[in-house]
Amino acid sequence: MASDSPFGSAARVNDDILRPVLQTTWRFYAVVALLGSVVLWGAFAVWYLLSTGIGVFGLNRPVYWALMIINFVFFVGLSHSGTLISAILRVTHAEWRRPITRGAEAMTVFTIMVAAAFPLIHLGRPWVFYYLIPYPDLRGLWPNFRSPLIWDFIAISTYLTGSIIYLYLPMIPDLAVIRDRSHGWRRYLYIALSLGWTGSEREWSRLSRVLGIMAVVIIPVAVSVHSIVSWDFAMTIVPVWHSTIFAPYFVVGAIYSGIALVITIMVLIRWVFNLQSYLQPRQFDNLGKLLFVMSVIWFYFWFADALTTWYGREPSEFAVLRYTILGPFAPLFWTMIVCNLVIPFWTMMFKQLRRNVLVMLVVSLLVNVGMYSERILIIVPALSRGRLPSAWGSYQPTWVEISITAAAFAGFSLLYVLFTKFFPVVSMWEVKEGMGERAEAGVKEPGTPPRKTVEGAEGAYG
Amino acid sequence: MYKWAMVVDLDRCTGCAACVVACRAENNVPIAGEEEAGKGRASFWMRIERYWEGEYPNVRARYMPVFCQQCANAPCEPVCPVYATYHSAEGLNVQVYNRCVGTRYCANNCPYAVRYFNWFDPRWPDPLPEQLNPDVTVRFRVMEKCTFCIQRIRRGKELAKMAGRRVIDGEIQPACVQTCAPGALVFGDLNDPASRVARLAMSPRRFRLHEDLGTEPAVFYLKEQSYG
Amino acid sequence: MDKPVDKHEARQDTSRTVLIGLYDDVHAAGRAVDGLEKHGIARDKISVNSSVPLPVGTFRAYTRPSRLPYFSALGAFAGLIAGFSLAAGTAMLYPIATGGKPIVSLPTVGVITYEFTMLGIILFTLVGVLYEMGLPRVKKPPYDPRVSDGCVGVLVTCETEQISFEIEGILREYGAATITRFAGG
Repeated sequence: MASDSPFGSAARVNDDILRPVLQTTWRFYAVVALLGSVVLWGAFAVWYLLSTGIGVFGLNRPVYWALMIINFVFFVGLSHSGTLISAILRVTHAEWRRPITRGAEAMTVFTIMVAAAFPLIHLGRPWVFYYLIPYPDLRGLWPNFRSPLIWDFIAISTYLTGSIIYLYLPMIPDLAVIRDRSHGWRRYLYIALSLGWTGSEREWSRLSRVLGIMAVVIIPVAVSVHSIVSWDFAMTIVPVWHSTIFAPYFVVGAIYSGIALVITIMVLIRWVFNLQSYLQPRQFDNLGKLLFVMSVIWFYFWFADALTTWYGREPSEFAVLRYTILGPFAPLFWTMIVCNLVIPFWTMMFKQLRRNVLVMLVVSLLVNVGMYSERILIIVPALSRGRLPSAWGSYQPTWVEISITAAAFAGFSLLYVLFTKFFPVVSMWEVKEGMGERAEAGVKEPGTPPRKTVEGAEGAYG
Repeated sequence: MYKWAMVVDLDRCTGCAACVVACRAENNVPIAGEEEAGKGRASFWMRIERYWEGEYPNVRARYMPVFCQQCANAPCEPVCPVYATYHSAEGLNVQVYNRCVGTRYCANNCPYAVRYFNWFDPRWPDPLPEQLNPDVTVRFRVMEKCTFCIQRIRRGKELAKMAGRRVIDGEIQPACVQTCAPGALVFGDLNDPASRVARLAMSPRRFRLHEDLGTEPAVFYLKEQSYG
Repeated sequence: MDKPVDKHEARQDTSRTVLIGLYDDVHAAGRAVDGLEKHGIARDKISVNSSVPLPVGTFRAYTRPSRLPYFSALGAFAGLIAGFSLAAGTAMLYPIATGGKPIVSLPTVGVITYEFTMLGIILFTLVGVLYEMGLPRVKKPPYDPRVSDGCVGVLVTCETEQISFEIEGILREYGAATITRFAGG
C-alpha cells in the first residue's frame, strides 16, 4: 500500500529539488561573480550617463527613443509569458504544467524588474522620476493620467505586484518544507517567509481557491500590460506606430518571446540542477507546440500590419516600411523573419525535434534574437523617417547603451540564479500532487497523464 | 484675450537665416559644436529648411523657416506624463522646464520635429556667455522649443496694461520677426481682425504644415507665387 | 475534582491538548479519521496536515465556505473608485488643457480605472486569503516537521487530558507511527 501511495516519494522530490537550495557548489559562486561583474560594469555606465548627460547615448533628433526603450519593450515582452502561461495552464488544469509553473512565474517577476529600470535610466533627468508617481506636488498638481506613460507606469506596477503575489502564494507550502529542512540564519528566513504554514486542510483549500482567483485575474492584467506598452507607440501620430493592430500584435509578440525564454530557462534548469526526471521531453513537446502556434500567429499579425502599409502607400508610412525592409535595416529585417518564422516553423513542426532538448535550446534562443530585432525594427525606423524629410536621421548605439543592455541581461540572469539558490525552482507540492493523482489513477509510467483526471483537483474543497 | 499667431510669407523669405541667429541670441539656445551637430544634436528653435527643386542646370532652392507651430491641438501636449507642456489660454504651447523629466515623448509625437533636447549641460564658446539673455532661463537636460519669445510677449502685455490699453498690433515682435530683413515673418493677435497677422492668415495663399493631421497650427505659411 | 496543589498542574489540567498522530500515507490517515469519527469525535476537532493537497475522496471534504470572492469583489470596488477618482478627479482638481482634448476623457480614465480595479482585486484577495488561512501565525502551531517529507499528521484537539489518552489509543489502533502531544492548543 505504502509503495504506490501518493506520498511515498515525497521525500525524494524534496531531496531532488532542494539540492541546489541547500547545497552550494563553486559553480554557483563562479556564475554569480561573472554576472555580478557585468552588472557592475553596467552600473558604471549608468553613473557615467548620469554625470555626463543623456547625450552619451546615440540618441539624436529625430531618434529620441532607442536602445533603452527597445530593451524595455523586449523585457516587458519576456515577462509576459511566465505568469500568463502558468495562469492559463492552471486555469485549464493542464497536467504537464506542474514542473514549469514556478520557473515561469519567477521569470516574469525578474524580467519586469529589469524592464522597469529602463524608462528610468532613459529619462533626461532620472533624479526627478518621482514626478511620475501619482501624488500631488506642492501646488496640488497630479501627473497627467492622459499620458500613456502614466498608464504604463500604473500597469507595470500592477503587473509586478500581481506577479510577485502569484509567485509567492503557491510557494508558501514549499517554503514550509525548506523551513523544516534548513538550519542557521536561513531557517529564520524561511520561518518568516512560510508564515507558519502547516499544510492543514483549511490552508490547502484556501490556497487552491486563491490560485483559481489569481490565475483568472492575472491573465487580463498581463494582456493589458503589453497592450499599454504598445499604446505608448500607437497613441502617437508617428507614421507606422499609429496603428490599431499594435496592441494585439505586441501581446502576441510578447507571449511568443516569453515562451521562448521559458523554454531556454527550462533547458538550463534541467541541465544545471539534474532535473531530467521532472522536466521531461513531454514538457518540451508541449512548449514547442505553443512556440509553433505563436510563430504563425506572430507572422500573421506582422503581415497584416505591413500589408496595409505597403498597399496603402501613404507616403510617410511607406517611407518607414521601405527604410525597414530595403534600407540599412534590411539585414535585421531578414534576421527577424528567419528567426521568428522560418526556423521555428520548420523545426517545431516535428515531434522528434520538439522532444530534443538541444534543438529546443537553440530555437528558443534564436526566437528571442528575432524578437529583439523586431523591437528594434518597430522603434528605430519609424522615428528615423518622420513626416518632414528635412528631419530624417538614423541611429547608432554607443558603448554606454550596449554596456547597460549587457548588464540588463546579466542582471536578469543574476536575479534568477539567486532565486534558485533561495527558493525551489520547481513547485514541489504541485509535482507531488501530480504523482499522487497518477498513482491513484493506477498509471505506473511516469510522465503520462492520469487516465482518470481528478476533476477540479485544485478546487475540490472550495 | 489674445491669440498669438505667426505668418511666414515664403515669397519674401530669402533663406538668409538671420532669424536663426537672432533666435539663438535671444533665447540662450546652446551651441552643440561641430561634432555633436553632425550627430543630429544641434538645437535650432528656428531653422531654415532648404529643398532643391528640379534637375541641374534648372535647379532652384526653396527655403522654409520651421519652428514650433504652436498647434491648437498639439500632439506633444497630452502625451507628457507630468504636464511639462500644456496649452495656454492665449494659444501658446508652453514648455515648463522645471516640470520636465525628459521622457522625450513629446518630441517623438511632434510631426514637425521642432522640439529639441538638451543632451548635455548647455555650453557656449567664448565670448558668447557674455551675451546670454537674462530674461530667459538656461535649460539643463530638458526639452525645449520655440516659445514665440514669451518673455517679449509678457513684457509687451505688462507695458500695455500699465498704459491701460490692449497691445497694439506690431508692438510685440519675437526676435526672428524683428530681425527678418525682407519682412517675411509677421507676428500678432489673431483675435484682432484688424491685425496684419489676422488679415494675412486669410490670404488665398495660406497653408499650414501638415494640415491633414488636424493639429491646427498657429503658424500660417503663404506659399510662393509663380512669376513665370 | 480536587483543588489543584500546583499552579502549573492546574493550567495543564484545564487547558486543551492537541495530539498529532503521524501516518505513513494518506490512506492510513483517512482510516484514522474515520475511526475517530466513529468514536464520536466531532469532525471540527480533527484536522489533517499534509505536504500536498489531499486527494479527492480520501477524506470528507473540508466544507466551510470560503468568503474569498467577497474580498475580491470588495477589492474590485475599492480599486474602481480609487482608479476613477485618481484619473478623473485629479484632472478636475487642477484642470490643465492639453492638445485640445477634454479635461476628463472617459477612454483614458477607463484605462486607469481598469488597472486599479485589477490591483484592488489582487491586493484584497491576498489579504482575504491570508485572513482565511489564519496566516501569518504569531504563535508556533502544533506541527510535526516530518509532514513535509510526506507523512500525514492527524491532529485532534482534546478538551481534557483524560480524553486525550483515550484518543491516543484510537490513533495508535489505526497505525500511527508516532504520537506527539502539544499542550494548550
